[in-house]
Amino acid sequence: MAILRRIYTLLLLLAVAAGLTSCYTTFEPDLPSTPVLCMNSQIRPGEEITLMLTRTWLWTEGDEKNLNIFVTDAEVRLIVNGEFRENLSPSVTGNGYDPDHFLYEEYKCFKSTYVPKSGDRIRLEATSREYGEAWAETKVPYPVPVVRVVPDVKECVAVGNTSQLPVTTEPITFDMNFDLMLYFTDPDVRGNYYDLVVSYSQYQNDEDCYSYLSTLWVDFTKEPLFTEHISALESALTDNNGYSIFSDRQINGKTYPLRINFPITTFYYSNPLNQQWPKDYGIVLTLRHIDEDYYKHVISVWQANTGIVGALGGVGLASPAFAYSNVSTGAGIVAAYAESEITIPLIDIVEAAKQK
Amino acid sequence: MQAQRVSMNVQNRPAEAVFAELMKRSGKNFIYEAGVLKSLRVSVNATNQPLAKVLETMLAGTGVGYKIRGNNVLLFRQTPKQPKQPKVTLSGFVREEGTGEAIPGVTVTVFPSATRAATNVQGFYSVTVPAGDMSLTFSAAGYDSHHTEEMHLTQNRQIDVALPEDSQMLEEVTVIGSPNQTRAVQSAEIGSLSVSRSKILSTPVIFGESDVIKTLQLEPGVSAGVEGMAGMYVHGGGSDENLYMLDNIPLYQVNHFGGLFSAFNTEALRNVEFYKSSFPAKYDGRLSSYIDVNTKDGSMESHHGSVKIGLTSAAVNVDGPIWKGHTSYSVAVRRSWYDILTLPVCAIFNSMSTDEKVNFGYAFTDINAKINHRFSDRSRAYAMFYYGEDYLSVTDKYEATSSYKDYSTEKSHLRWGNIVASAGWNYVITPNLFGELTGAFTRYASRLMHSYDEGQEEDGVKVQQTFDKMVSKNYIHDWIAKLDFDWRPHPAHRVTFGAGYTRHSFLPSLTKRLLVNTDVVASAEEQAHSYGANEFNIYTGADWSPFAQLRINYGLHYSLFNIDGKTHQGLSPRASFRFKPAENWAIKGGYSRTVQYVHQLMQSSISLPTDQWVPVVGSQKPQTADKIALGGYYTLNNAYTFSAEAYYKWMHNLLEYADEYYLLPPDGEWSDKLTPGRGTSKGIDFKVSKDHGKITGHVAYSLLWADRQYADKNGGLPFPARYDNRHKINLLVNWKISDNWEISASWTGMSGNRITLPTQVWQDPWLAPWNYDMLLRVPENNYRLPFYHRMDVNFRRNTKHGYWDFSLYNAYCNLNTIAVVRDYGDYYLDPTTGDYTLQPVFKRLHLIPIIPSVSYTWLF
Repeated sequence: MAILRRIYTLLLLLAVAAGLTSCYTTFEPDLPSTPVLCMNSQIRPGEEITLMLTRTWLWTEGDEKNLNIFVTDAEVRLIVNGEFRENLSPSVTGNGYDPDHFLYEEYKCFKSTYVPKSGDRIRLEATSREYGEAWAETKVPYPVPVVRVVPDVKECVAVGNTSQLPVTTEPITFDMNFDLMLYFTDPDVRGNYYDLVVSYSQYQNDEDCYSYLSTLWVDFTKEPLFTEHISALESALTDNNGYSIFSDRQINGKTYPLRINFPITTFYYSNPLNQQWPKDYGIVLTLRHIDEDYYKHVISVWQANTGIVGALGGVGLASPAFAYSNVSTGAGIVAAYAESEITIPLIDIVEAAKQK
Repeated sequence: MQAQRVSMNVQNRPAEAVFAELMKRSGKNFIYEAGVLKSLRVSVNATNQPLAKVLETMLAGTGVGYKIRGNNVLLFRQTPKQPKQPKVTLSGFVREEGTGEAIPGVTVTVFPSATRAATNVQGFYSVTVPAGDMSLTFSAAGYDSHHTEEMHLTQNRQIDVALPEDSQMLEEVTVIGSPNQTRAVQSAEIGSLSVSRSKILSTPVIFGESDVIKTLQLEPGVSAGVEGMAGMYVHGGGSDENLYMLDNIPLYQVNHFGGLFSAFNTEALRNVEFYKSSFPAKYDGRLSSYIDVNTKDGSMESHHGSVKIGLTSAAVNVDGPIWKGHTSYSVAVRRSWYDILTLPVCAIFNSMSTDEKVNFGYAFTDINAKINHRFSDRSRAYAMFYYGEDYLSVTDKYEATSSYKDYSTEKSHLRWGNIVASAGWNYVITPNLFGELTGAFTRYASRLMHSYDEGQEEDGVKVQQTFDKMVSKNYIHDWIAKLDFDWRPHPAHRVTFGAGYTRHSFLPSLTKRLLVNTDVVASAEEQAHSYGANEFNIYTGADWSPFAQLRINYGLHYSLFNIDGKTHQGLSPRASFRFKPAENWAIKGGYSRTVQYVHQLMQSSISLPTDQWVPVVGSQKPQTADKIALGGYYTLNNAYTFSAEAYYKWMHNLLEYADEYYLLPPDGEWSDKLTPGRGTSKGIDFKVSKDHGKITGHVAYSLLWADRQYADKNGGLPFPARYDNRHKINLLVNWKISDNWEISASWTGMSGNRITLPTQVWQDPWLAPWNYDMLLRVPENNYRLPFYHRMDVNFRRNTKHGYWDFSLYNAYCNLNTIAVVRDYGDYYLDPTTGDYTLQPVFKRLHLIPIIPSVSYTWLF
């Protein structure tokens, strides 16, 4: 369907009827292009601040990983709640990247000794002799606790002998379609933003009792908050898959059950000696209370990648969509968030299925 | 000074002696032509009387008059008053012979006074001349001239004329002048044009689909926008700054298929009036141009019709009498083929899949219908209807054939288009006063629906698990009533005036969502806020020629726009003049102000169903434009017209999407996404045209600078407009080789459109799950695409019952650049890492090559 949609979109938007062809020619635009400082940092309470200070580069300069984009000879000042706190120190490691997406064997960064806390207003200022100045400011949010999580199993197909559960002499595979209803209470002031991170706890491998997830996928279309950034036209012509970012625009001050749908989840279970089920193994839901800049950045990337503005801008039919930046140079994002985390053991989901 | 008093007592004395004495007593100089006082004797007996009274008494009955000018007294011989010569008013309608269609722009000349008048869009003319012997000549391009016999008229007379189509079109004949030539050197209008249906039909365009807007794109000062599209950007203006009208009723959505075709079915048209610089007082509401598309009335005498079959659409048109000589009808229907063409594609796809069945289709439809009724020679009524719609449907059904019986259905239905319905009555109130009363409804609406239905089949019964439906719509509805008058009190003076009222209803955006997930039902309705607005306008305009060399056109349009308890008002003065320093030469200048209360929000340069028409609300102000223009014109042998028109335009309170408007929710308050701004444009248009003979056409060049500045766009700094096409050249040639063959060709060359091209990228912070090239913002429209050029050719073969059109779009296959994209080129060996890596590059996208097309039109 996605392919079809794209075909039709192309047909409609570019007015390419039968017989039309297109081609590309490579060229170098004659435009002034000057690199500037880029600041990337994700600040959360309880952790030192790590700042990735890089320079921008010309698109045709080459692939990012082959370029030395790190700026190490800069002075980086940390100002907390309006008061200068320290100069950040150069370092060679950092936590600025999601390890799953980590591209570099080693990367350079700046680190603070100061450990921020919720409510801090953090300002970072960088000065480089070669690339000039840059600054950005954000406020560290407070965590929003998860009230509870209620599993709602719609379908559970077990392959194997389930008559003796939880004791199984043979391993059982569960194919499940279920929702996790995550209840949380939005603070009673407007302008709260969230990001839901779904992961699973570390693989358990006990020779007597073990289980693991082989398939875990979240269908974000099932929760309206996850798709509130998608217009009807985008639903029809581009991509109607939602995403884990949402705001309190529709739920301000309410306790809301966030419906997290796992349509195709497969996990494998074995417990021949009837030992205690591993309670610490399961699906980890992390509710990030994020700042507005974080939210805007992710929405802008969705728009640029998937939205109608990006689709049209990508083929020259509209002005391009730019990734949102809160850095003075327009490059980078200094974001902050606070997390609440909860693990839902797989056994609880199996139990919910049995009760149904 | 007249109060000066004198005393004098003379009886029957020579006048020269009396005035010499009076000169001494009054201190005045008495100036008179030799002989005026010769042999004249005068008498007066006055004591301390005003000088004027003394002179009056003294000169009474002598045939000598006087005028006191300061210290001088002029004495002159009075000419005896002539008896007033009676005048007569000749009026009537000029129509096409056979069809009865009104012909606008016909020059009516009354001899021997050589007094001229022109017919209006209803074919009405009125001219007042001295009574006596006279004859009339009716002349128009494309028609044989008609000469009346000499007649002696002492009373007003209505003279209706039917002009036959030019029987000598293939000969080099000389006529008095086409409407456009007449406009060029006779009228005070600047930048106006009349486009006939035959010209639209003979202009080569993509897919052979003749198109009003694409014909106008070949005029100087008109930018086309994206290649192949029916866009129109006049003198650096925006696409929503043109008022398109169908029989003088606004039409909001003028495109089909994203803008590839306009909504005007050429088969239904009679002619088009286009104004781009000086605007008649009647028109207001848009900043850049006014396009009045007049549809066919239908023949009062016999039935006619045509059937056109092309590669992309088919059209049928029929017209004729319902009551011969009194009532006529005209119906035209056009529909595209695309959904029929995609049927086999879907069938092939579906035959390859056992579980999934897919259907998609797109179609557009236009229906024009009109009924005319002639109550009498002075009274006529009509009713017109237009329906135009685009429809896009995508359906994807999945039913598992495996043991796990799940199913899903995904549907997307999009509909958008216009409805226009109007009725009018026009009446010749007096021979020189023409009135028209109109009532109309016009609507643009779009509706988008997307649904997803998913479930499982258990024991042969489908059990729904998820149902998600989203409906989004927007519309603008207008109810219109107006009264227009055309008064010609004097051959040198024409006055138009009128008033109108429009009730607007706006629904900028409404989104409804219903989500049913097992046992949970969630629904949401967003931004259902609609607006009602009242618009009232009144205007008067005059066209006056105080003497042969000078013609002045002036007028005023006043409007009130009431919305949400707030009333905006707009005063739009218009003035232009034409001065003829010599025969066949004209110099013109003009000023106009225009006011716009509604505007269209467009996310891109192509037409989308989500493009919303919205009013000015809240703190927004009506958009206005002030424009000055100066032009020079020359006609050579009544065949060639040369023109040069320069202009400067200031635009205020423009509205545009702000930077990063897409960060706001799609169903959020639309007005929050906008930013106010201003713009300027300046340039000059040159054109040489030839309207008669075997070879017709024009050569045009335009020079343009256009820029914009918005509070929340481009950092508040000015930037060039997207269609700031600095140089533009157009050639259009139509050659009637013989009765059977005709060739048309057009060539367009212009500076490329401007685009925003980011060159620097920054490190991805990986906050989002997608890898994306983070682009560093650059100044808006910082890059100009390469020079654009293209030639289109059309060969027409006339047959006994119709004609074939063979077209070549982009005949020499120049692949113009329509966009620049960032992409990757070849692998290269990186010396630092030793890895082979793809080289990031910029690429020009070339889209439309040569496109041949063929169509056949059957005439009956």
